[in-house]
Amino acid sequence: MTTTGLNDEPNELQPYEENFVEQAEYIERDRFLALAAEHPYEASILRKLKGGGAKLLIGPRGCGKSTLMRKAFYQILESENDSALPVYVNFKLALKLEPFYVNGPNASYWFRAWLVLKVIAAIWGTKEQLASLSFPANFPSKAKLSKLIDSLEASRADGDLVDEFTISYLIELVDDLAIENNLSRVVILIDDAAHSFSEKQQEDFFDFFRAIKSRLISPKAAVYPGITSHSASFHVGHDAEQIDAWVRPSGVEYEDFMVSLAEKRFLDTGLNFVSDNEEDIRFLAYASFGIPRGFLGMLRSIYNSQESYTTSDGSLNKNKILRLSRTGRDMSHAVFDSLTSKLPSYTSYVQNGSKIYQAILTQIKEYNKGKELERQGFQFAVKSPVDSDLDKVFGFLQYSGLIMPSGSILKGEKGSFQHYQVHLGDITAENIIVGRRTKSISSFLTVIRATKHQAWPRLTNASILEGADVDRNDFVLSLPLCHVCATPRSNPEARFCSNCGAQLKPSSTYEALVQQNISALPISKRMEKRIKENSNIRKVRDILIDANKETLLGIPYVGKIRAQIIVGHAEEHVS
Amino acid sequence: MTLSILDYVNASPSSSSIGSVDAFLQEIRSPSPIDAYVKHSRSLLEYGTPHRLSQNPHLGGLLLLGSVSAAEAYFRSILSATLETCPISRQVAAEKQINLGGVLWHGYSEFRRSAFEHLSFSSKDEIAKASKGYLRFALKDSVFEGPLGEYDIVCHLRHGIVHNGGILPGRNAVKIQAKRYSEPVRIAVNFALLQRTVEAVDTLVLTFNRELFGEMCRRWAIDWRQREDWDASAENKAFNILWDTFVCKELNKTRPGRSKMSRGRCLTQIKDTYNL
Repeated sequence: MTTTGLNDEPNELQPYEENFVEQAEYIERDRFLALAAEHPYEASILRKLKGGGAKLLIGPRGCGKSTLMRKAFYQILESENDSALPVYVNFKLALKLEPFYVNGPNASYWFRAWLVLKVIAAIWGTKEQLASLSFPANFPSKAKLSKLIDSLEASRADGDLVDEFTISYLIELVDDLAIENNLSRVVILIDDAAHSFSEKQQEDFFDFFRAIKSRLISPKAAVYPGITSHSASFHVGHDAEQIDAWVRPSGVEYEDFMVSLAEKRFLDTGLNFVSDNEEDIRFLAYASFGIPRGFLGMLRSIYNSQESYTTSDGSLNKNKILRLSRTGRDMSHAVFDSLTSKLPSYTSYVQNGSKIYQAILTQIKEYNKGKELERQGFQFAVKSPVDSDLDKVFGFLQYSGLIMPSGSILKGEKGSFQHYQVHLGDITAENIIVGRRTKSISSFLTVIRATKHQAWPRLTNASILEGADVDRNDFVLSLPLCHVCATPRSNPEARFCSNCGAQLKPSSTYEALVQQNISALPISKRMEKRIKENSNIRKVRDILIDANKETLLGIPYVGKIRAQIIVGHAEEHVS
Repeated sequence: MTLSILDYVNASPSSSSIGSVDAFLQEIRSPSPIDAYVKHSRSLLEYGTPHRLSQNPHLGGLLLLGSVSAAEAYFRSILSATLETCPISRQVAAEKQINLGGVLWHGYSEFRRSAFEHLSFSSKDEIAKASKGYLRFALKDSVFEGPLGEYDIVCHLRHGIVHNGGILPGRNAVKIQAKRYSEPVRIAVNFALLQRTVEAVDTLVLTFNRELFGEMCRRWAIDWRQREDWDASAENKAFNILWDTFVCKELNKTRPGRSKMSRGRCLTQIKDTYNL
């Protein structure tokens, strides 16, 4: 596992470490508003998030969905002209409900109750920010909600206690809330939605999302591309408009957005890294491929190890910056590789996907050979229709932030092509656009900034598979053996063992993920060693059950911020 | 050749006779309701291989019917067995009507078997109604919402296969929220659908069997003992009947940890739970 978060952390706690926390949901309101930069399409995206109707905010991990959601939340709260009420709820830990799907016959019921309870609990969160909000007399207490959520997450819920928490109940409660407070609209901002990796659970989420949409309730959900299964009754476009949150890494607007983000994060520190090294920072921005989380990880490394990144004249060390630029793509590759744990049945797709991705990089490199810098490309196009197996792989690559789709292109008789851009961190790290001997930050920037890239290798299903040395038959679903007699499944569609007749059970992804050693988390070896030497924490589960972070806070050089980052990594691991 | 008007459409068939039905009736010794269901259901699955199902477009539908039929037989058997065992159920069902034909056929000792012959168990509502109406056993949403919902979909498909030659009837299409098609749609029961539908039926039957057993154990431990007609000396006998009625010997043969699933251990756990 590549480290991406606490990769260069020194022993001593740094005074402004909080500035470099990547996940927006862990930053307090004032700090969040001070540290967030303006997304290039922010006005348009926020208008849709704050307005009526159902929307899906789509983008890979770390592309800024949570930031946009929280900005929408605060802007609605602060608006004096809008009689809307925002509710921000995070479904990151939905996978905790997965045991109901693996071990019980009525999982959808329990999951729906959890979703309803989480939304009602989040209304309490809004009240904490908006003291004037008045609750109807029948509004459930915070303590009761919290207790029920905890019991559901621990798979020991009592049906009689959660029975009333249906979707109809939620809608009626919101109606009462609207009457009590003279509201015209309740905007429910659902962050980290449909992250569960369980297809049925994702489908149940979309049934819930569709069912709560009403004249009064405008649900908005942040979802991943490529791995999200909608339910049979949910139709993107009809049931919800899709909004792309992933900022395209090109142009002055993009550069200025990322530079402004860096400036805000370094502002209190008194350091002039950004203004003194603007081209280097702009290069790192490109290398993070439109994913602010990757960019912040790089800035954190510079902040945490200032001496090692600066030269005697105070400027940034170019070689170190080139090396650092790899961490964004390392993060995306780690996310891609983690799919073998999160979607174990698709292991062969992930393994072959890595080969396919490398083969595409090689073909782009070939394509660039001998071309002038300004004419080199970092995109590729695949002839439509794309094979279903390859399409699945492209979905996984998008989820991880390794390829960015940029529409389809019609090439007359040659047919239509799906167009993609490849992670710029790989383009620079793998010498795809600039030769090994001539590479420099300025030469990379010359290629990336070249006004228009109108040419790219045109690939086909066959040429991609051939380049990767992958056969169509290499894509196989790795389904768990029969839990009774250990016979392999005779057919991916089989629900009963062909040998002993037992009903086949899915394996529990959640259980497998929480049982993993903490070395699976993107923390440095030094941090891992320190945690193990100073606590009983060994597995991811141990971090997740350390509710008040007491164990983590007892470890030397782990303060509130670092503890939060470690917990954040553990939560991300299971989401 | 002289043709009548009728002959233009098809030739006249020969006379048919089924003959004595007794030639085709076999006496069997019924295992417990759940074991009978599991044996029936598994034999259907065993036959429904991907290869066979691909060879005949009607086979899948017929196997699906068999699966629902096995479930209906289970519900009839378990309800009548419970009616016989549980005094509370008997009290609840006392006002219910029974078909005379059933009583005449089964005789006095087995007349309970006819109690449910006029009922169909091919919809979720009918199962819930019978369970509550005869046993006072309500199917709570927290346990049965999903299993009953999925079973209902299977029953709508079954309706099209039984009554409409495999074409999905409009009423059932609307109920299962199928999208609209311009032409009639055939219910194509391939390997995937057969496995999914049998799984849905299985889930409901196995859930019902577990939950009703739990309820009967509770009644045995609490409610039955508070009745005038409780015979303390027959305590063990009453529990043995419950055990034999509900335990699934077929599935427990291969179940992990089966050595711990004995009657004695179960009885001990019930006594501990209810402080007996």
